[in-house]
Amino acid sequence: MTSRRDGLEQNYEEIAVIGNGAYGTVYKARDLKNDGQFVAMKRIRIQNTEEGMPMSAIREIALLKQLENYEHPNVVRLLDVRHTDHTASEIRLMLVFEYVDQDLSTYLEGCPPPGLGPDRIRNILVTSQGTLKVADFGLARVYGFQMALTSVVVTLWYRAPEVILQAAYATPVDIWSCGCIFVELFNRRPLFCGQSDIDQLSKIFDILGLPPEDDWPENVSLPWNSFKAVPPQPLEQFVPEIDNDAKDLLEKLICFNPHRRLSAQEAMNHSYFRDDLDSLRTSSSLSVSEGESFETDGRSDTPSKHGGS
Amino acid sequence: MNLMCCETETLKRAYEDPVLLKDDRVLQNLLATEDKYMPSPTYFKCVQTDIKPYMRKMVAQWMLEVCEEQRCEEEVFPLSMNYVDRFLSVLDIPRTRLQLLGAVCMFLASKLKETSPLTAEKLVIYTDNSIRADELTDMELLVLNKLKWDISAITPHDFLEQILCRLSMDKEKCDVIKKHA
Repeated sequence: MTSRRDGLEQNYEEIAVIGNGAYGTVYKARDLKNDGQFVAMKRIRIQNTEEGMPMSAIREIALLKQLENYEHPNVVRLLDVRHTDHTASEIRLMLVFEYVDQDLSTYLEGCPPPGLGPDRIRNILVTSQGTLKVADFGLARVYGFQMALTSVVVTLWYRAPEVILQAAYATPVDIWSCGCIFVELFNRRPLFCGQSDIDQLSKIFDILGLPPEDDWPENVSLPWNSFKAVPPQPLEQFVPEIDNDAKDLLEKLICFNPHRRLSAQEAMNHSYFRDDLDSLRTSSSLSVSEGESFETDGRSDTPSKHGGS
Repeated sequence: MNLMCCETETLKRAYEDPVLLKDDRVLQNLLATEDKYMPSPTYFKCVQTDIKPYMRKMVAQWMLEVCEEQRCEEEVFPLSMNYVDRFLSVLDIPRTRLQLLGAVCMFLASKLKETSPLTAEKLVIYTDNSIRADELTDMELLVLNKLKWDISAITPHDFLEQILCRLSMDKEKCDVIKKHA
């Protein structure tokens, strides 16, 4: 059973190598079972252990498979997953994805926004119709153990305070991260660049101010009074290009108390996005997929709200 | 649900999240997705040639004992039974492999749901050494392939909180129901 191939090799015909990394190789291929339509075939190597398939690979791929049920227009389809081979030290997997012609870097060719290097946007693809698609959801963690250390540091900058404080947490942690990235779109650099957990919290409070004691989560080992009481700073001081609508949204995304942070749906309905969509529709070739919370009210062309050039 | 990398000794649990409980889209998605993870109701007749219903019952009881003794998260047992049934719906195996299948399914469900999952060594011991660790990991790959890696299944357990929060019932009663579910 060490070399089960399940006739997989006959299903797909490799055409060209389109990517190469520590984790393996990505090919452009034809799906011979489906009229030869193009697919992106990723061959990845995973470290085998006595515990079999690593937990991270199981979780990420199972989650991607579950997401498939919803056929989200902005998520790259995962068409097939197989294990092709394994030895005592290595498991080889093949993941077959929908093929998308270009990533965001290629799409923006010639005019990459300053600070957004090609590394940063490789996981966002753009179809020939101009629809954005997110690829490689957390698959970085599947690809390899060698990435583990750096990702811990990087994600710290986007980590919600309740996670750093090791309090109970839920979906608001993602909204916090979105708020941090929202700022980064204006500033082209991260907002809270902490070197350690404590440093990260201090950097957050330097801007948001130390929250009232009532907002401090229960049963956490770091007491509220271990931080200096500092007042909140006006956000526009740190995000000079922000306008009032965006500032209002930002304040509700990076709110210290997770129970008062906006939900994703509430954020989508914020006036910032409504105006923004109107201008996107009329002034840009990027199309945004229709969603239930995306109705526009048919206002005429307004200039783009993003101050950044 | 510890997605981030805080290595703490005490297990932090997510609080009841109104974003997930109060939004009807979540319940609707669960209902719509549930079908995709249903085993075939006729596999004893149509697929299996050796395994009989009473054998499934025996292996299920053994699995429940293991999950309880190891204090697995509540969803591990129903999830692993979902894998057993779905695997048996697609592949005919001899009765001698049924306990191996049960062990592998707990192995997988535990890795999906728990911060410190069941180890291969423990599972081998629970079978009285009737399976080997390498058989377990080989079978794991076969089960993943046969279930097409689609193992984040919806089980009845996922509906419990969703339904309870829609009933106007006091917290004590809800806790009793959860305990007996």
